[in-house]
Amino acid sequence: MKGGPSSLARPAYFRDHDAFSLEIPCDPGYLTTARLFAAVACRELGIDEQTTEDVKLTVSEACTGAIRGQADGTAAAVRIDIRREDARLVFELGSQGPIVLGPEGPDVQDLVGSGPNQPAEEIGLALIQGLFDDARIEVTPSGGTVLTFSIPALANRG
Amino acid sequence: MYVRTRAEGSQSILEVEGEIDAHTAPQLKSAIGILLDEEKSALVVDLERVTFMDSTGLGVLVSALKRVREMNGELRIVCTRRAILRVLEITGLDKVLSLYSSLSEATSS
Repeated sequence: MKGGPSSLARPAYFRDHDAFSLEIPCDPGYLTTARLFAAVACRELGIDEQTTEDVKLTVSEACTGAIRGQADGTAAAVRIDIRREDARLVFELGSQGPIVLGPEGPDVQDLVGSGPNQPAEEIGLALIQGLFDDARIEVTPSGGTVLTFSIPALANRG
Repeated sequence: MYVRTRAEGSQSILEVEGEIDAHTAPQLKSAIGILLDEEKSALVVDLERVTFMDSTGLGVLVSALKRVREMNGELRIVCTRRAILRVLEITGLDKVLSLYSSLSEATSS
């Protein structure tokens, strides 16, 4: 991720050939913008409809997690970078705070019968990893958090 | 996101249209809460016109299911959209939610 996302009043979009970037304010009202950005980028890059839906879901989960992670009022921007690396498209989503994945409310695991030691916060990550098995979350040197996943550059998973 | 609610006999029906995410989920949660307060024997949530739902929406449905179970009632979900079913399948919620392929099927069972 280039640079460190800072506070932002409105979405900022950048494109350079096959590299797309979007910064959104730390506000759930911009999640639709983030999904639309992901959909447009996927379409421009020739990604099939099913994979595009999976990307939109992952982008929404990660952005929601980044916004939730800044509940302390930090309100740094959430950044999405999409770029081509050899034969793959790499997606990076991050902010200057933690990414807290998982629905609010009761523990989903209580209902689906998984292990009692698995916290609800892992549901969002399990969802993302169910879609993209190379998805991972890392802490950046500046103390931010980045979720990264990739797909084949011409993904067509049917 | 738009929600429409109505009662049919012993059932409450909630029809949802649009996208369910962290921005819109509170509206859905509120609508479900109001319907559950009516203490009907079944709550039918129609997701056929929902074009997107993430784990925030799942959280609302799970909350509703827990509360319905405490009331010895039923939660019935109408959903055939592949994108929504996929979210339910990956999280395993398709095994604990009662899923129906049409509103008429859900309300007549």
